[in-house]
Parts: sequence; C-alpha cells; structure tokens
Amino acid sequence: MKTLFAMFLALCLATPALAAELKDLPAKPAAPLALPALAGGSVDLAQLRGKVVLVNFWAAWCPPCLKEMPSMNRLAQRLAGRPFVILGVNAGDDAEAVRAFLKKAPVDFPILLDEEGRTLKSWQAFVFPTSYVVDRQGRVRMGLFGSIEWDEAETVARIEALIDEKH
Amino acid sequence: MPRLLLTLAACLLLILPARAAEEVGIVLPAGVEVTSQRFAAAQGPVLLWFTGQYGDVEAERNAAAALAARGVEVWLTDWLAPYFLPQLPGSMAKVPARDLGDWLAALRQRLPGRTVVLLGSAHTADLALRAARDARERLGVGVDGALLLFPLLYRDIEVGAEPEYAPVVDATRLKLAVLVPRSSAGYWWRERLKARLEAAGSQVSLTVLPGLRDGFYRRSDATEGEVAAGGRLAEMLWQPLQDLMGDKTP
Repeated sequence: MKTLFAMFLALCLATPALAAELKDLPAKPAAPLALPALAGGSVDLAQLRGKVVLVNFWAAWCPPCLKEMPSMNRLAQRLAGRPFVILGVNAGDDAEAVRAFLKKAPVDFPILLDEEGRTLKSWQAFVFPTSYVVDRQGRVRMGLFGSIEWDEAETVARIEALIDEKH
Repeated sequence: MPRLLLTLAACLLLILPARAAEEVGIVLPAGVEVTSQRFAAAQGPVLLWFTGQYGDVEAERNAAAALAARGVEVWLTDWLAPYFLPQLPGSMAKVPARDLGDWLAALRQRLPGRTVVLLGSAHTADLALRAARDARERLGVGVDGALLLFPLLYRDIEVGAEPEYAPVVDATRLKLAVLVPRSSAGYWWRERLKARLEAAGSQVSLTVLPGLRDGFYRRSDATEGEVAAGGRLAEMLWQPLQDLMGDKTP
C-alpha cells in the first residue's frame, strides 16, 4: 500500500528536469578552438574575432542535441548578414555518424569534428548539449547546459544585443 | 481449444520470473520500513542494488534473477518509496545517510560472513556510497566493494564552472568498479572521476561500454542494440562483480 502511495505521489510530483536556461557568464577569454570541419578544411575560432559566435557541443547519440539543432539553424538564417556565426562541435562520433545525424537535422552552419573530445575539457562541456556564446572580442559571455529553442524572441534579442555592443 | 491452451501456457511462462523474488521489509531504528525484492542464493555473495529513480525496472529484475541463478544473492531496493519521494535526481539527497547505514548494518547482521557488494546506477550511486560511508564511519561496518553503473556523482553542475562532486566521493574508500557507456557525457570525464575517487583512497577499475548510453536498459528511446544489451545486463555486471568479489566468486 505504501509503495502504491509512493508511486502515486511520485507521479503527482514528477516534473520534467529544470528547464535549461542561457545564462550570462562573467566575461573571460574563450579557450582555443581549432578543428577540422566536416565539409573539409578547418575552422579556428580565433579567426572569427569581430563576430559573435555560438559554439555548440553536441553528440550524435544525444536526443536533446537533435531537438535543438533545427532552431539553431533557424537562428543562423534569422541573423544572416549580421556578424554572427554558429559552430557545431561534434564530440566523439565518426564522420559517418555525424552525417547520419545531420540527415535528420540538416544545418547550414559549419560542423567541426572533435573525435577525441580534446576541446571538451577546456570548454567545460560536462553535458550534451553544451553551448557558449562568444562576443566580438573573443570572450565567453553566455552559456547553457541542455537544449533550448534558439530562435525564441528573447534569446535572439540577447544575441543581437551582443552583436550590437560597442567595443 | 488447443491453441487457446497453448496461448495461456505461453502467457504463464512469460509472466513467471526466472527466479521469484521475495519481498523483505526491514524496519530501521528511525521507524522507516525499507522493502527489498530479495533474489535469494544461499551462502553466495550478496549484491545490494540501490534503485528508485526509475521505479520498477524490468531489466533490473531480470538481471537480479539471472545473477541469483549464478549464485549471487541480490537485494533490489527502492530507496525513494519509503520516504514518499518523487522519482527525481534531487530526491537522493533527501534519503538520510543514517538510515542507509543502519540498513546496511542490519543486512550485514542478517547475512553474516557473506561477501557484500553494493550497486548504484546514475544518481543512486550516491545512495550506495553514502550507505557504505555511514556504515563504516558510524557503525564500523564494511562492505567488499561497489559497482557503479553510469554514476552521476555531481553535487552542482553550472555552465561555465567545474562541477563539484558530491561530498561522498571524497569520503569513499572502497574497491570500485565503474561502468561508463561510451555514448555519454560521463565517458569524457571518467578519468577525472577515477582520479578523484583514487585520491580519496578508493581502488577503481573503469570499464567502457561501447555503443551504449546512460540508462540504456530503461530508456524509452532505446536503440535495438541497447535493448539487446539490457537483456544481457547480468552478463555485463558479471565480470566486474567477479573482480570485486575476488576468490569469493560463486
């Protein structure tokens, strides 16, 4: 009986995990990030100084990563023409798994490959997905563990505010 | 008619567990009754499996029955139900360490001379380690080791900061077998956890489970491979259990 009551109570109280939130972080220089790109060549974050960069760490096995990917692509489209770039950093999957994932969630922004997970430590990616927003001076300004809808008005406004910031 | 009988017989076979569990309640000094499903194996080593976050999990019951058939007695215990706690990660911290330790000591007394290994998965790893700590520090009762399956032992996890481990990580001195799925965030931080546990005085062996994610045997989105692996859970636990039990392996 006690077990039944506990199960009922658990059902009543069970709520989804706390919603992920894009948090403002104390400005600090972004860690180095230079990786091969799925499309060929390589991308170095340092070369993107002057642009706001959303760095998203994801994995092909991660359902929340798949869920948020289309909204990131919409964000990229919405901010097209502005100094804004998204870098999707895949951790640990081979190129075949990455391509299979991107068939389900096609994106137009660069996908970088970190098969050995070498950047995860310096970027403190403890969960998947993990995202950081880097300002035009190359400083990390916002961060997020978990997934959100990246093209929601409030999030877009916060990223636009970073783009519009005076140096 | 024969077809109906055959169907009934098949249904009966499916619902009968390979080895029936017996419900055993232990009343703790605090007055709380903790109920376990006991998969008995006379005189063999004992595995105390801390559960609760995901309720009753069929793969865990099946694995417990399979291990009992191999001579390892398993006590599968839901630790949230006695306190009417919701099935959430945050509920683990609300289970009193004193109760965990008292329960462990009571079982030790009930099963004298038996090798005892603890098992916790995801957030219930915290319960297993706290039970060992309280029993050792307050009651002088030890265990032979613990098996941690995709353990989640962070206290706080905030973006942009190094996550803090739960205090019990630094207070654990056990022989530990840690199983980490390759497709998990924990995979990338497994050496960090190992180093921290070893620095505190534990002896840690790490095993990576290829092609699997955290909670693979109870995920609603489990892949075919994960479902199959869930069916082999007892086998998966067998080698690390042998390592922990040493020459006491049945």
